[in-house]
Amino acid sequence: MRFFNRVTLQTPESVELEFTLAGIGNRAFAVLIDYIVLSLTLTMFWIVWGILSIQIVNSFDNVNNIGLWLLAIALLLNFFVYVGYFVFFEVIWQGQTPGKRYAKIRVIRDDGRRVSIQQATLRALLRPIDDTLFIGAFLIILGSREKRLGDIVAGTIVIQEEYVVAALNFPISQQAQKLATDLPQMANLSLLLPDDFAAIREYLQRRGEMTSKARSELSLKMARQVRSAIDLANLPEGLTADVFLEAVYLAYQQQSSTS
Amino acid sequence: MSSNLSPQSPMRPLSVGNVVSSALVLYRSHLKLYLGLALKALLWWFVPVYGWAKASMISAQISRLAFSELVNQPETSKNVESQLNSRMWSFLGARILVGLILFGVNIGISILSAFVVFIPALLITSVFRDSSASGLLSSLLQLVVQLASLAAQLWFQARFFITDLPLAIENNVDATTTISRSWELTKGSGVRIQLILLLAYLITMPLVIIAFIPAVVLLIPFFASSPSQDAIVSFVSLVIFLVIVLAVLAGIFIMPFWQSIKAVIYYDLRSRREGLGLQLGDGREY
Repeated sequence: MRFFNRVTLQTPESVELEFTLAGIGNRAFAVLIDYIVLSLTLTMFWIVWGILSIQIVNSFDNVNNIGLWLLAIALLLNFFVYVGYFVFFEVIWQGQTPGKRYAKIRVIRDDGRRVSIQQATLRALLRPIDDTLFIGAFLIILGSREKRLGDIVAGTIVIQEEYVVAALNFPISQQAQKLATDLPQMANLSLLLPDDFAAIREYLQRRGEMTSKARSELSLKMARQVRSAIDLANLPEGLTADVFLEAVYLAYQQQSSTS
Repeated sequence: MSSNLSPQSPMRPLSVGNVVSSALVLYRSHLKLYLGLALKALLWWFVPVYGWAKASMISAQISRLAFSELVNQPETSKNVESQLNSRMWSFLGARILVGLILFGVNIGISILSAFVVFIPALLITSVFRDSSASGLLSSLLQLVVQLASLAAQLWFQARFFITDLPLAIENNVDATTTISRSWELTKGSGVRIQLILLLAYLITMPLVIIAFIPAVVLLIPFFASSPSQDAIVSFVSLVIFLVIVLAVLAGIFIMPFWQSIKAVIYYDLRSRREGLGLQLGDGREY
């Protein structure tokens, strides 16, 4: 079963790119953050403007309707801040606002290029309409390309950032480093598939978050599988499953980088 | 297992937004089945005690079905039901226990926050002779403490959010162990679950609002026509009845979504905390 909509795009240079669409959850998350930031900014603006207005009205009380004019200007500025927030960030951060950056999503054009000021403005101008009665949310949930009105008009889609694999800075013990140098002679590491290597790396990266019981069971199971996969006859004494997996990880990495 | 759940890597844990999106996709692709179960659960709620156990079981059944899709080993609804039937009373037991625990926790937090507000307030009034300054300070303090205790209560709710899942999915679990098991699984994830719940609320809001639109549409023209006293009473009670019916209807639609969210959270926690799905190659046996 498919959990995420994907799109394949043809860039003007005829390169095919595949993207995972953002999904309603990420988009709701992004807009929530953006609206919190925006409403804080606008509240500050109205407080400052209010204090200034009182002073101005008091000192220019001979001018007709000055309060009304100040209110009108404030409403206009309010609108510019609202639209400008999205346009400014989407243009300078290549399709991301603070909320989108946090939710790890990005707006791009239908052909994969980055959004320019036109698309960003169209999206921002249509945002209030999309928010009315949650029209945009329904369109995102029901459409296969997850486009709200702003996206349809501007010709944009919202995709998930293909975030880079986390830095491989998990600790590797001394014992494992020593074993890793001997391992290529003891076993046939080339029997290990790249997928197996990826699973070992994934385990080593994520083991810190796991419960100790699950961790010991899982590492034992994986170590046994690896051991029979690489035809390793006898293991050195007093070796834990974790150390063994670390050693295999290191040895495999060194082998594939030298060959 | 679940090779297309996470786009980047089959084994990577899900982000907050992706939990909500996948729960919605799960729900949408089994809309009829889950809605049918939700309706059945609702009807059982009208039968005291026995019906409540039955209803609790049926909600958990939805989560179990959703979980079976997540691990790519789909089960049939009948099959699941026959397995869970014997644990029916444990579901009710767990529900009551969690209710009691949360009740106790909330009372504890309220007492604690009352102390936290009361003692500094005494100090403030003794230090500041000026009553307006001390009043402002105390009410500011009160606001902060109230927000903090609300956050604490929500955090506990998040930690107890998936208590019915271990009971529905794992073997040899009873009403008490399912609670400790879910407490252990959610360890360190309280804030993330809170965020997920917040997003899920946001997404269900359109449905809730739609349920209330008819009431508003009926009420405005009615009051615009300046009706008599008696007419107001009968009309308003009619509208309240309508709102209750619509809210229950909305509840039927929303409940399976929450159960799907629980299933995805449980799946995600199992993969984070226990490396569920993490195995060599395509899981071939050696």
